[in-house]
Amino acid sequence: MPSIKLQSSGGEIFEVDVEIVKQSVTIKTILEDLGMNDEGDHDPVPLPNVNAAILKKVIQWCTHHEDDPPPPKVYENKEKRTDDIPVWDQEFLKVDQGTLFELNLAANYLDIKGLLDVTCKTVANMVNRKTPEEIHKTFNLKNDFTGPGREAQVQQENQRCEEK
Amino acid sequence: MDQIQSGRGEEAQFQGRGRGVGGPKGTAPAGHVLADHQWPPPSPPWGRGGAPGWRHQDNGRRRRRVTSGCGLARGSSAMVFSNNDEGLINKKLPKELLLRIFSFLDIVTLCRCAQISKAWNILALDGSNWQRIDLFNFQTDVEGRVVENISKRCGGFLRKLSLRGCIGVGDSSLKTFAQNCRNIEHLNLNGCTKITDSTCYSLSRFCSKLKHLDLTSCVSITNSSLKGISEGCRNLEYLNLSWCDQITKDGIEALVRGCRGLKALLLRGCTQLEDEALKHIQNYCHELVSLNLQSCSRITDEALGLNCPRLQILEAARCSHLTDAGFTLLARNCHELEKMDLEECILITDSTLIQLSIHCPKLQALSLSHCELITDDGILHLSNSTCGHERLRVLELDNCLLITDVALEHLENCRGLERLELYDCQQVTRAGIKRMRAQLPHVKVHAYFAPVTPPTAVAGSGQRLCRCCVIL
Repeated sequence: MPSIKLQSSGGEIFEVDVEIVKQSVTIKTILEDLGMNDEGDHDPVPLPNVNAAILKKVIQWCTHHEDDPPPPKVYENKEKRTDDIPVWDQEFLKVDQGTLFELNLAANYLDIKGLLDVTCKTVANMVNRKTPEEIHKTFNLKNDFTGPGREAQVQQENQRCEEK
Repeated sequence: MDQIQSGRGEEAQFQGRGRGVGGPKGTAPAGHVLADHQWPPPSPPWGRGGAPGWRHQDNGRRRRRVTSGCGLARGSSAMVFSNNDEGLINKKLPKELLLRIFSFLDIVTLCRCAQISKAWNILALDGSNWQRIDLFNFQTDVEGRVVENISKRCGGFLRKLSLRGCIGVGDSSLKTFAQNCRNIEHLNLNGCTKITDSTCYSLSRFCSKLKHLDLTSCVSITNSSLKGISEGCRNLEYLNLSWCDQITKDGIEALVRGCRGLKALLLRGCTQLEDEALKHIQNYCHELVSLNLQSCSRITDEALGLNCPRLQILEAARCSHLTDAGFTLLARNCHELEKMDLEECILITDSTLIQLSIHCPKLQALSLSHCELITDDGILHLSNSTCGHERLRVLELDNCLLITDVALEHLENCRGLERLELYDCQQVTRAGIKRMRAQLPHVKVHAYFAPVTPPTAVAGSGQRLCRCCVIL
């Protein structure tokens, strides 16, 4: 099976099967634009936005998902669920926050819908149904509503959503 | 009305309460890391979690960021991150990714996110998150005020709202909702039993873009609602009036005069409806694709001369007065039929199946449950037809007492069959089913064979002794 070379931001080269890496619409487009579909030795495809560690993980994900059916067309009315992340992906994404966000970014830049969805859902699950205090703690966020009045005001406005 | 409403959905600008971004100006409080410096420090756009300028003024020392108004600082020992790790999510992820993540959050969480920080406030309140809301999971908690608050928050962005099962919601909250959310297209009020015609008047007045409306079990709805809807909601394509049993033919007539684009009309349990109602429907609703008349027991054959050539789905369970004559009429007009539920249309015979076989080549699912006059012969015709060979996926023959294993042989021709119901078909045997499944290995057959009754005691063995009493 033909393979292509990908180059991370730091210059490291990864050789990967073409079919695996075509899950990235970005890479697929680059290959088509550069006429790199035929056999032969080619220059590596540079990916300046993705570092080696993350690229390695992305390739790992794509390899595991090589035989997945193509993602369904997105319908406006489709319900958004977060409880349907496959078990393998859940384990794959048990990483520190920094890595998780980098994977999210990479999936976005490389336009890999499946990876983008599971990373977004994983982060969403870290937020969903938490109290504001828990969210602050999880993501180490600063509450910057300056002035005592403002914070209370915002809290009130938004708590009305939960009031009976 | 909340001032923050404006401008949302496009470039998300944070609009404070008349004051500029950043809070009070002057010098920083004494003891603050920025004491003797300008307060507030020059700040970048708030989208990326904090002013980088702060870090430079830190003198290179790692310290906790203690600021007034910081919820975490007060008495908290949880600050184990260095400055560089703070708000990693905001530093790494651009706005469009954060919005994408937020799109997976339920509305309660969204409101909590709006309290986290200024940046998250903007993101949480972005219009894209408030286009579709489903309160089904909160139904017992949802009362009028919640609906009103949500409608004020979402305003013109809300396209789809489900209040299914929210029994606490009433007319006045829905009036507020209608006034605020005039772009609503899809509204589910299934089970909102408190609402009356007044709600439908509100929808008629304010919600002209409504396409999909579910009023199942809103039993106080009368013909007046339908008149209102017909005047104000002319884009309606789907209307569910199941169990609104005060509806009569007059209401239907009013409805269809205005809502000629109706594609789906569900009238299950509207027991007062008679044939004339269907005459009105067929006069105006030529786009009709789906019609549900379950339990409209007054309907007779006259109603089925439906001039609705696009009809794909007909549910007529328990319309027990319908006969072959009616279905013959129907089949000759409606060649697009795909799904038919004729459960308990007890008068129909094989003749109906023959007509369907001839005129309805697209038939995929057919229920003949309790149609006791159907025989193997009808199944023969069905199996040999165009629809039988390729299209038929689901067939329900439970309680069809005349069906035998012969019918199963005929069904071996139906290569697309996926599901077959045979409960209480007392003449069908296990062997028959097994033979059929050998030809159609993918079909799911649902049948039940009661365990054989144990034989009674041989006669003449004398009286039996019961354990708890002695028979003399």
